Amino acid sequence: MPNPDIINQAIEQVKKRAANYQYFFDNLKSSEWLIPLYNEGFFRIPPEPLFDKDSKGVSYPFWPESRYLSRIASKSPKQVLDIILKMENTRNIRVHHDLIDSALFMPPDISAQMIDKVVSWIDAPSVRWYPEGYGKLVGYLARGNQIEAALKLTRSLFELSIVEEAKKVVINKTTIIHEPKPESKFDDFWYKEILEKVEPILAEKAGMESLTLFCGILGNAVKLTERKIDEAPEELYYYSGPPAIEDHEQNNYHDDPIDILIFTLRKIAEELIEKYGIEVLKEIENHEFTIFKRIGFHLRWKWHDVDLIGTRKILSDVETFINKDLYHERYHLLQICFGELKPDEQDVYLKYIDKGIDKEPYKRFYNIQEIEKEERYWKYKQFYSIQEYIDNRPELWKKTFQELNSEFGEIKNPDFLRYIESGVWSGYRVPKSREQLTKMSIDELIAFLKDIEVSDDTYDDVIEGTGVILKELTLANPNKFAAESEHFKELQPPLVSGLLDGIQQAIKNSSGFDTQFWKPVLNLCKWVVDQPRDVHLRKGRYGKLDPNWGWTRQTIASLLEEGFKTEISYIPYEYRELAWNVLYPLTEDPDPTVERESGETTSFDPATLAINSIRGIAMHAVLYYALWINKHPNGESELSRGLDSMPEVKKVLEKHLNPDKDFSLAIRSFYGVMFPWLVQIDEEWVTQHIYKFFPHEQAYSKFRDTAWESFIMFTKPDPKIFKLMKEEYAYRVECIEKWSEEKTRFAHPDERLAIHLMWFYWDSEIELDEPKEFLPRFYEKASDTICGHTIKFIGNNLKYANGNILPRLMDLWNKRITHAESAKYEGFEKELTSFGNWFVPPVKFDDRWMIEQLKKVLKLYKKVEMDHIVIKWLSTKSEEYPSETVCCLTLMIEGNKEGWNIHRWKDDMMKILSTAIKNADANAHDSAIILVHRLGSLGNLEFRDLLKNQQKDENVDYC
Amino acid sequence: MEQVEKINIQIQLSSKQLAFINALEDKSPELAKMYLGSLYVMNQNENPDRYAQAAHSIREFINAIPKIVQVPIEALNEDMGSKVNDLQNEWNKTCQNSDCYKNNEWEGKIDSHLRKLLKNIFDFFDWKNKHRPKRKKEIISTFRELDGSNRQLPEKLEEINVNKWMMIRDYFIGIAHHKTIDPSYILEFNNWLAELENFLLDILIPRTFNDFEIIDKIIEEGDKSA
Repeated sequence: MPNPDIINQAIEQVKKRAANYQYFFDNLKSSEWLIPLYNEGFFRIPPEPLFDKDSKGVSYPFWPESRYLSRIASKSPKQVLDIILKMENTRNIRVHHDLIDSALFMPPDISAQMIDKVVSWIDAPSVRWYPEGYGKLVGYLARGNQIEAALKLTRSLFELSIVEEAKKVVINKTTIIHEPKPESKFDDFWYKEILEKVEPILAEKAGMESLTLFCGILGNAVKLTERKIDEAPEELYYYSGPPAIEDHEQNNYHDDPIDILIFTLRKIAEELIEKYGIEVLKEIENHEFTIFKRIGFHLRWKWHDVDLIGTRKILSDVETFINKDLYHERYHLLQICFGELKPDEQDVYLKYIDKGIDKEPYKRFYNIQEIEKEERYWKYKQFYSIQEYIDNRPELWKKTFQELNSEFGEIKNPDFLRYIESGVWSGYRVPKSREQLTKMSIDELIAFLKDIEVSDDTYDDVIEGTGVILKELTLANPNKFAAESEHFKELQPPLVSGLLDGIQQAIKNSSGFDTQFWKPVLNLCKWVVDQPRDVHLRKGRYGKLDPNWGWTRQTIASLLEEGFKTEISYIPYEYRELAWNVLYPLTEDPDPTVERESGETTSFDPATLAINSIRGIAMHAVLYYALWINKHPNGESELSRGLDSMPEVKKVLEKHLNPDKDFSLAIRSFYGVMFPWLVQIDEEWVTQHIYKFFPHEQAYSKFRDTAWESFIMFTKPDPKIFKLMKEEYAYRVECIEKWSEEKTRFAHPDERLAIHLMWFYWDSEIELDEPKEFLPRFYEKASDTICGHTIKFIGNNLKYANGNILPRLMDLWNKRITHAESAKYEGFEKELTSFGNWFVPPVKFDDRWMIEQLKKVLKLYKKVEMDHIVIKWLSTKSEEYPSETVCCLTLMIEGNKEGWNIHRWKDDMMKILSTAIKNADANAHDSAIILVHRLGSLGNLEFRDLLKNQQKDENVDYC
Repeated sequence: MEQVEKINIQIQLSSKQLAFINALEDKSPELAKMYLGSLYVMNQNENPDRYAQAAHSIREFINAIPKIVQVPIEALNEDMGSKVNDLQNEWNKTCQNSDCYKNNEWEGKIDSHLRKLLKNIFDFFDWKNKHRPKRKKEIISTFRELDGSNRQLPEKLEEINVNKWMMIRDYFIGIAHHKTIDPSYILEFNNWLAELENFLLDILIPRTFNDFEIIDKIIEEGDKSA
């Protein structure tokens, strides 16, 4: 055991700083230090989590003392246990981690003695941090026959709880209730992983005790799912489990903790039933919730000889058949055990079938023939599971079944009430699969599609699903479908939409669409736009499908846009009139409606709504139509005439530019985004109408703002456009910082304005001091953040800078930093630290100038943007400027309080420091040594090697 | 730096002191000046009160440190002496004015004068109870800020450092108050000064990896003796 003198020497060193303290404990290997250090007060008070008031974050300090305990736990388990039990409680999850590791190194009977302490940590965030450690401990204890401790930890670890209460959220006037789900104390991934690992060990070692435990955990979890049902408030609903209890592909996506618990309980039961037989069934079926019945049925199906009497009793109870949640397991149980029932017991089920369905709820939706068909199908499905036993029953049953069989044929996946296939719902009237539709000729396909029988209840499944398949088929073979597209008239809107969507995708993907087929496609489109738009059609069960031709019209608008825009399979010029006749009605479409614009049905901003609404897409198509005309050889001669050569376009553009005729901000946004294109088409017309694009009247201010916002956000700076729009730019400089901050944007209009202005400065369109309404006014009004964007923008574009522009940019920086100096640097942090962006390669300025500017910024703020790029650049200059590079690095380290960046900077820092240490310049050398020690004090031990071969005399120590 | 070197010639600074003053200058030129001033006074051989005056400067230097790292201080600005003096004044006034104090004895029902005194005594002890922990907290915050590593020592070790710091401070306050003026204490004075420099140098210019080598040796020794 180290003597007191050595202990005192150690304390003398470790008290100097945290790095020493950590180094000492991390390097202790012998357990002999444990008692003397404990006697000096160590291992008693773990560090608590640290709460950061500013970021509201929590950090969990390492505790070198607990790490030492875990390393020596195998050598001195009893002493380590005693110390852990006497230790103050903590919420520090890193300490919990170490102590759990300690438990894993002790013999199980000793680990078991700290189980109460371990359980007490589970409600701290600890378990979220290190769930696998807790899981390992369960397995370790169980394997070591410490069953009581293992089960105690298991219960605490896997119990579910409701973390968030139910809450109502109103989105676009629709109230959505988020029902709380039972949640685990840690990540669902780990919940599953750990349970899969510990379940077999617990089943083996704890036997029926483990089954009882998991029944209890699952029962408590199911209780948490209690809900009142809207239709029957007096009844309570409880979660009844995934589609199948056995492993089944239908269970995909059923990986919530409660599902994981269900599968775990099933596995334990399966492992125990061979040994404990009926006891297992009793334990499970003793619980009241449906899920336990389902697990019981599953076990009875798989191990039907364990309790045949019980199974017969269940299957002769009519209550068993009423509960729909039992359908899947009951189906299999009937299939395997129905033959074991006595005739009178079988009659219970047959009478249940004979009684039929309760027709009342169906009357709201179906006519009497439909209800009767529904009932016959229901009966058929009930018979399906017992069909092999029907031959032994009276003729009547046999005959009924045969009739139903000839009416409905084979049922796919009869053991499920609902079956999900390839992401498309398919119920009891399955549409033809993709494979089946692929094998059909076009005529057969059209005939099939026309004859599809749908009800409101099946509309979603059948029509939407088939529409999706039709799109896929068209995409795979666009010419075949396009050639015959006129024959798709009269079909349901989602089917026509699917076909046209497929053609559009094929053109977009350059899949060899033959332009000769544009004619039949356009004819089909023409037929659609001629249909009454809001004709009453069936509504899907969920009301989500196209109730009119709206979606198909949107698809057509997109198809036309693509057809005018594409370079390969574009619409032949000869169809100009036909194409316009299809397009024009779409520019008159009511969508976007007032409701959509006001956010009642969507939350799109105007620019997004413009590309997601029929009229918006149609306006885009009009623009591409104009460009398409200009692009065409026949159109070239007309190019100089601008919009005069296409009066139909001019008329539409002028109409929708009038806010009294088109009130839509989405359409106004189109004019902003497409402004440069419109200038390209007809500059004179744009010049004449520029006040209409950005109307000055107060009543139309929203239109002006929307057009500007879309323009500035989505267009590149262009000197030609700038000349046209100088007045609007000047107005917008005056409006800086006046935008609503509530709106979510991917960028801010003022940031974009800053970038445009910088671009014009770069291009010598404007100067720093004139005209007054641009940069001088901008810098008076813009915030530090916005100004930061100007510096950043220059940095991002320096790669394009030639020698002539560099003095302009240096001039800008010098003036800004001088201005900042005169204002005592208050409110310049963002702008000046953005200087780091100027180090993005290739660095175009003189090295010394760059270093001097960098030092100025770092002395002020101890940080700079793009720090890793800056350090990389410094490392390339370390030979030439050893002292300056170390100085910059020192300042950056000082500013890097959290120490997160050092790992990223490491290689470049090594280069800077090693160069300086080897350098003859004493100042560079000494500063580097000081910084290396400083880095060590911050916990970066990898820099220690830099000091190898350094003299250790006092002078070097203190430089 | 030029100024420092000039003084170096005059008062013979060790390299350690030079590094110390440079480190102080980095933090605050004002602080470096205060410390340098105390060294200056110490070297005025013709000045008979130089140690007390130097100690006074050092006390001021020690008191200024929290301010330069922007640690708000309250307890460190308060002192027991003035609190006791206030209480004594109150005591004297009460003895004169209270009806409860007669013939050097206290008797009768508590009157308003005595009630006020008791309240002041209560406040004094309350202050005294809170003062030390508060002062300790302020010193710890100062060390953490000076260190700047954002990594904390356990409270127990920080407490050792606080106690050491207070011992150094108390020593210089004692000298400043002429409690020890015997010239034979020069050596002791220099030792305390070296303690102060070493203490702050360990924080301002850590020699982390040199310390690690020492720790390696301590562990080796400890393992051998185990």
